[in-house]
Amino acid sequence: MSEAAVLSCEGIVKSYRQGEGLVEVLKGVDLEVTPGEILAVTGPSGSGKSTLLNILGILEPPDRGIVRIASADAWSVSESRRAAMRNRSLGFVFQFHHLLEEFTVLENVMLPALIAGRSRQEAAGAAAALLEEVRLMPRAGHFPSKISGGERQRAAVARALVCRPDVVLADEPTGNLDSGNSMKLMDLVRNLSSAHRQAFVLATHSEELASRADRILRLAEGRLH
Amino acid sequence: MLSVSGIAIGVASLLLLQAFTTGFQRSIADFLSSANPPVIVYAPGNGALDRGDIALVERVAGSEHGLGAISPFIEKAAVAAGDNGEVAGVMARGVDWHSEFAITGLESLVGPQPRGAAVGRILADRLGLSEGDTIRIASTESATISATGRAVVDTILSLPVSRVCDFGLEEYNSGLVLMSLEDAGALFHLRGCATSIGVGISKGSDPVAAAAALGAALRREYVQRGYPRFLMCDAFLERHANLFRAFGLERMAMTIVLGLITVVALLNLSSALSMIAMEHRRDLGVLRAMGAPPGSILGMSLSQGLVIGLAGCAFGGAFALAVEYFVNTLVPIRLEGTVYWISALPAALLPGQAAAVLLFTLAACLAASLFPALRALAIPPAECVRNE
Repeated sequence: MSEAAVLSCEGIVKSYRQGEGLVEVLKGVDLEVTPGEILAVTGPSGSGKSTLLNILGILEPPDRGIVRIASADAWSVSESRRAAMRNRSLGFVFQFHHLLEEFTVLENVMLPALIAGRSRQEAAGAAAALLEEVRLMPRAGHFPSKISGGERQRAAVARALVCRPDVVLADEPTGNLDSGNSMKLMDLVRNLSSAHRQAFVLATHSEELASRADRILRLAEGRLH
Repeated sequence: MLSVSGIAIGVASLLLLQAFTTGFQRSIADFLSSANPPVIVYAPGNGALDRGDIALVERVAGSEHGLGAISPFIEKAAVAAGDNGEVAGVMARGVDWHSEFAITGLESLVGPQPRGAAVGRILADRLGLSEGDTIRIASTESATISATGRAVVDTILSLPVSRVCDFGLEEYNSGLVLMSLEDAGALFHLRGCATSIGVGISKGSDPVAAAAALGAALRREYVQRGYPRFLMCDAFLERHANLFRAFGLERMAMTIVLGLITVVALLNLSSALSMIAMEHRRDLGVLRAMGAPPGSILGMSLSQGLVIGLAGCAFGGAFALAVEYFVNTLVPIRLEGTVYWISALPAALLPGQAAAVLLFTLAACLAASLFPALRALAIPPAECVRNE
């Protein structure tokens, strides 16, 4: 692993039971993510992009292999330490935004900061600054159901960034958006990445979106190419 | 809301059960105790107690916490006859009216200044006696059989009937004759002596505990200090221990039955929280992806259970208190006095009992909310946030 890598994995193997058989989705994946880079992982549906992102985000364990977050083996520490790693070092953007419907946009963005133990005032300040950056401040008091799909995804990006993580993992972040909004979101990702030197790992099957990343890796037959 | 209602109904049922059974037991105990001293001292074999024994009991009772004044009395079997020629075996009890009134509720039964004898209601009917008539009483101990085979008694006491009483207990109504200590002393040749000594207790004291303390003190006098007689004592209510054991058994059975209402409410709560956890499964996954530790997810579910439990306890407790107030002050529950001994059913919610019910309910609510939380935590976060 290079010194600069903020997130890396080695020899990741993951298989799922399907009916009576075992399907090996990842067959030894190695990856390093350096600070500030935008990395696109492409591949057809079912190629294992989401599984790889979940393993990189330590949301599920690999069958074999090591995931390192800032050089620490994420699966050799306790669950509460792993939760702290997810909170401080990683951010997540999901295809369907997954904002909590009972909370306003501002409160949704505040949540990771509150989980990190910051005061309500501090969390609100950080969330408001990010909403300003993603041009959503006028919608801060709205509930997710009252804003558009593009706005929800921008709010999800703001939520992923509020704890200033080293890496943001985005699984098909534009999968639910039209072409115009997809490009706007990609512009936003690029601006934020260069402004805060945060790395983005985007799992997408859109070649157009991937072409705007710094590096493109293709996941095929369980391996990255 | 349904979960809160279920818990509230369960709590109210358990609290009211405790309140009514306690109220009923207390009233019965008070009623039974009204004609008797709460603690009774006697000699083994029911031998006579002399002035020395009475002075000892007075001294010891005065120094023991929770005990009060004493009242010596004579109680012996006798035969009584009225004007209709009927004869009945009776229990003649001679008391010092003044000191007896200080430790029992007898004054309300026999009146403030009794003269002669107070007779149980059923016995008076049997002997054809009413107030103002004369009752003749003879000691059976002094009876002898003459050469012609007739029973001969040496002393017959004739007393005016001052009151026909309802003592509440069947055995008293059909066989008790109350008279002054002097009259009983003359009848049984026990002047200046007694067969038992009644001891009063201070307000709020437990008669059984007080009797145990007095018994221990009297034992010490005999064993350690060399008092020549061993005196025993027990609480009057212990003589009806089976009745109170039956009450206790009934209370336990009803607590189990009503406790099942609470169990159903708790299952309802657990199922509601499981549904909430399943409905918010994706949100829980998102929270865990954002770094919420398992403990905080557990804490969220437990706090939901706690809030529901607190609300249920508050509503149920308030309802039970309101019912207790209404029953005791505004709308009493009437009972048939000749059947139940008491004419109204009081409710008495004891703080200790209420605290036990509320604490049990809160603990059970926490336990009921633990299961859904553990189930939610068992699902990997990746599965919760997977795109559908």
